Amino acid sequence: MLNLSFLGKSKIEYDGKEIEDKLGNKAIALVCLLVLNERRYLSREKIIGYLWPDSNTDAAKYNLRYNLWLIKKNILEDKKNNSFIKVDTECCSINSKYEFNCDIINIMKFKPSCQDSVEGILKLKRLFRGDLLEGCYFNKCDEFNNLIIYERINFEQHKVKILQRLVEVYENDNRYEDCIDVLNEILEIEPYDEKIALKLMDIYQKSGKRAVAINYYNEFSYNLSCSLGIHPSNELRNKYNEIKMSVADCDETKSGEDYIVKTTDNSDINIISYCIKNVEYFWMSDVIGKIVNIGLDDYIKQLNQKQLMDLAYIQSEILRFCNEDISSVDYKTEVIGVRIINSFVKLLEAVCNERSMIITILNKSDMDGISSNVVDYLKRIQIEGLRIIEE
Amino acid sequence: MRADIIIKNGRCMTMKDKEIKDWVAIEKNRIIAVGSGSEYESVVGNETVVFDANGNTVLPGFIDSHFHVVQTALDSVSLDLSDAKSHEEMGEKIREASKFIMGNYIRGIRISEGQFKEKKYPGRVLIDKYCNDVPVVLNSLEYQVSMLNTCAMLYFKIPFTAEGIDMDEKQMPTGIFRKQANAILRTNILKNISETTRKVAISETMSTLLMNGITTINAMEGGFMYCDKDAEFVFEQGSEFPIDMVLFYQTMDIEKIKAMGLNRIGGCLYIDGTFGARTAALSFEYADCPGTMGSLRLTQQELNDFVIQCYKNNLQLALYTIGDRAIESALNAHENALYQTGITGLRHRLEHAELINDKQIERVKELNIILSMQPSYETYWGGMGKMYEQRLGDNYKRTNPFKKLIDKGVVICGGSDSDVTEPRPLLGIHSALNHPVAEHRVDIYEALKMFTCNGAYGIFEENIKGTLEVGKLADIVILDQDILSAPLAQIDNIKVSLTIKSGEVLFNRFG
Repeated sequence: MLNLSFLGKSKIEYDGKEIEDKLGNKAIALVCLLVLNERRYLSREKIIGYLWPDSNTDAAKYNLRYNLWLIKKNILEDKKNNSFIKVDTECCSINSKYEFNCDIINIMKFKPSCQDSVEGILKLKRLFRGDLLEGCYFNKCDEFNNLIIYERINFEQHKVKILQRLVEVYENDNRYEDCIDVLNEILEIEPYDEKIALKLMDIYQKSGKRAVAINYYNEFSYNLSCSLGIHPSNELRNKYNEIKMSVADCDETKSGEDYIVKTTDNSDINIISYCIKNVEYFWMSDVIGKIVNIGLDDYIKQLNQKQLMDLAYIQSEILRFCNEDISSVDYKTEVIGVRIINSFVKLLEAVCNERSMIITILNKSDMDGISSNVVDYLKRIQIEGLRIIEE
Repeated sequence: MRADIIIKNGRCMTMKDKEIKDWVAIEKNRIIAVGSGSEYESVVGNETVVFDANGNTVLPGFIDSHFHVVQTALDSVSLDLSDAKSHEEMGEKIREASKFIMGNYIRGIRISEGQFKEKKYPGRVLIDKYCNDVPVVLNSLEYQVSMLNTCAMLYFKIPFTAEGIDMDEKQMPTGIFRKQANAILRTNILKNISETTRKVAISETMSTLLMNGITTINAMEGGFMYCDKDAEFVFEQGSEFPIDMVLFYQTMDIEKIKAMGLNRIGGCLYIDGTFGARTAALSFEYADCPGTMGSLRLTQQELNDFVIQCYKNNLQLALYTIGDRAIESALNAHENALYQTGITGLRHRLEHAELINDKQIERVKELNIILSMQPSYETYWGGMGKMYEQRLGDNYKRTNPFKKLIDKGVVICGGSDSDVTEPRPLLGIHSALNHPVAEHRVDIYEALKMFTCNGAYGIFEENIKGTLEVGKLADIVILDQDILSAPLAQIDNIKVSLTIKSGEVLFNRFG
């Protein structure tokens, strides 16, 4: 069996033996070139242009013939008498019928899908031992060198895509520790990528590592500013504030394993909520969304279908608790406000009936009008167990 | 008691109470006697080496309080391309250098776009024309841009997915890297520098330092734009070099500092940027770029949190501040930390502090903060028509107000900021005496203090260094003139004749 591996220092294994030394750099480069052009015939002329551009025609032709011979000599026909490389007077190509394994072909085939398994992605990830044809540089072979640079860009992008997919799969399985490892790997490639940093903060938060998240943010923000003279995006900063605030709200003497939102015992539920100016219902929608996201399903289910539909009107996350299609509901716009507010209060009551809840409002001055009136109302009716803090 | 070395006939400025003596006696690594007249004869033995200073100045060894030692060392083995006027001229220098390559790649430095008649940075295809068989890495003046040839593109780990990779019309990288890509690439390349390369380069720099009379440096290492490996190298191997290196680790990782057992943190711990790049935080707009005022790298809250932690952990903290807005922010954080913790005596420092204003001078004094400043900046950039004036307009008259600071009783340590300016304390002293703005000039004694006793105070070493007193380390320099009688405008021409470090003669022009 033939195993080709070009990511990192090239490894060519045939029948369990490494044969790179027997082939030499140019023959390895030739195999790599043919693999990269797997579905095409490459003309001899084109190959010469890549690998022997500065030799005279005869010498170049001889070099190509010699290297093809070298490959043929070391990589024998398979059981069905297929030779690894198909050669005719004009062109060369890899024989698609020949059985072999090749890292870059496997990677090129990868397309993220819902069937991805952790094992499958890890297998691909392990193929990245380093850069394509690492340590290779062919002086004066400009076109070939350009090709390597071009393909290195491609494979780096593939690698990031694969790692990102792995993060998703791990996250779905609630494997946060593994998620964090992979995110750090991506950050090694792209240390200033704010989206990845945000994701990492998010996972730290989900796994209860508040202190690590805060430290990480400080370090990230400082590095960003020293190396690039820029500040973190608002999104990242908000995330940081959210995590930091939740620390302040909790009893700091408790162990570091506290979750921002307790769902497993009967301690306080903390919700950090945001406001957006002039977008009606936004604050309420934010609170509902967070109640859904932290998995307070039991309390949500205490609402009847009508009430749930009312809430779904401003927060689509509720839809998964609804049996009906929201578009089928005939809302009378003049009364929908009343119904939403009533259902919202019902939801808070359902939660606070069994648990204490603290809702922190981060930027109250930006709160939309309806939510603002609702907050006033909530303060007046004083639901037992509900505390609203305005920052 | 017999001395190993005697320096006689000197104008020995002890830097203690302005006393001047005639001779100094050394045994092993310490000063054992200082005196006047012929009293020294009683400690002369058969083996005593006697140096005759010929009436010239003898001083404590110079302390350079702000020095990027690894960067200076690497620069000394790099190709300075600042005077190439065209791409061709630059290319020829690279071609020449490729014949005598040291290490595994050619490192070209100090390039600016404007210096070339082409008015642009060279890309890889161009560099390839002059050198295509060895990796070539070129750096812009302030390291904001890197340029690689094709060989280097394949040799180094390139951050292909990062922002800032310049592409040509065929969507191929041109070899010019900016922003994120440049920062990552630079880190990748610096990480790859071997310990041996660092060691060899630093060893070679030592002779230049000793020739300039430097016996102690504050090594500002690690962190961004530099490399943590530099700091770790100085931490682990700094003591193997003849000159004392006091490490300032440029990190905000307090835990790491504690684990290493260091009692100080910072150095170029950026609160703002540079005047050159118009990133230093000013309270007014840049004269040559209206609308720009520079920016702070940390919010006040972030800085406050960090500074408090330094106080609580009893760490001496050195913050990099250039513009007045950055200085303000740093002082706010120090005040806050002081009020919250009540901890004093840590001798915190502000590095550079070029644009400090009168109010801030008062606050610095009240907080007992040391300023670590670079007088030679004034020679490079100060005065009419130079960089300070271009960037700051009339405010150039406010930069580096040494006299005001000293009159207020603020301690100033002098440094070169090498590799930014030459590692030559006498140039720093000259610059402080000849400040382009007359009211900021200081007298010779104060200028010398910056590079001797004040430098020692800035690193808690005043008990062993900084003056010529009995019991102190024998770190001593002899100059080739009497600095007190030399014309002020020519202090710059004075040279060091002899440098003794811990009792060892390490540089000797006497022959």
